[in-house]
Amino acid sequence: MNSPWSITLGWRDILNLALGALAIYQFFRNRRTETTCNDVIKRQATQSAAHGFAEMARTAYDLETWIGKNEWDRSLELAKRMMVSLAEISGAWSVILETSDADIFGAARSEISSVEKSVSLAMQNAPTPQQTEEMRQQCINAATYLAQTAGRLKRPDEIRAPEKGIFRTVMERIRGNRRYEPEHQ
Amino acid sequence: MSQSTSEILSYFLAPDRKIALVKKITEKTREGKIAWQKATNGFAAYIPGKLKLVFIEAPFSILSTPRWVVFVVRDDADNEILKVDNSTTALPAPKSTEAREDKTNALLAGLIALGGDPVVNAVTDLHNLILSQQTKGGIERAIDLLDTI
Repeated sequence: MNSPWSITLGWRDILNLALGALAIYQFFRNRRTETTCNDVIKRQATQSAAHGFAEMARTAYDLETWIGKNEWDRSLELAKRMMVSLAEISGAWSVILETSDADIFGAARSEISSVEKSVSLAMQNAPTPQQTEEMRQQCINAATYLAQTAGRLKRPDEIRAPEKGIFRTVMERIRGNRRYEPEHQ
Repeated sequence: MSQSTSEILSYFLAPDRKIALVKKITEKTREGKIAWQKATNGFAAYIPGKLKLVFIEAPFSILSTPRWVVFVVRDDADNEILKVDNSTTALPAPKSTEAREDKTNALLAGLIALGGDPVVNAVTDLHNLILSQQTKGGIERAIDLLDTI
């Protein structure tokens, strides 16, 4: 029985097919390069943000020290500087923060804002030891929140679930995902 | 209605709606319809497909009971609906003796003198309820565990 249709490939057709395959390969390769570059940029931005949060945590501890020494002028200056830096951090890195981290960061800002108001009041009337202690606690709280956020941003990628590429996923499915099955011993 | 009048009205009406929302959450929590879970920095509750509620507590406090710092209500798409800061200062603000010309300021001062920000008070009530529920739940669970021995 004769086939109802047939294809005859000439050398030009083969060349066209080869070029087409090469173009598809280049497309996916470029896409992968772009993804890798974006990942690198994101990782660098996250590292800078982590450094910024850690620095702010240290400043919050400095503020706690100055409050403990009843250095109100210096404390007010530092508290005001922190308020500006926190606003700056918020503007610069809010995109990187997850919702839970944004809430914690909001708590840090709230604590420093309270401390700033208290310190400006302390310059008019000397606070009681308990009030000073409360201000110090608020600084420690803010430092803890900021350090937590910095820690989460510093968390290595290896801890997170690895992102699989489309090819790797397809290959795993073809192979029946044997390599990634847990070994039962 | 002039723009300034509507602004003043909306300023005073907005806290009412905020309080209504917080009181509704308190009511549902009391009825056991909202289940709060202990999180790393406080408490969180999730009403599937509707709202996400978060309390951020102070890690250290000179008070025996934990103090809440921030309360946030978000919708399912993580859009912020309500955020309340517990911005209590260690030092109380001095009482001004100067005659206030501005009626709005006078009314605000009156409200504060009556016992702080009403929204903050409503959130504090909710936080206290969650704390009491969690403590009670924990103790009852411990008693049940001891009964099984």
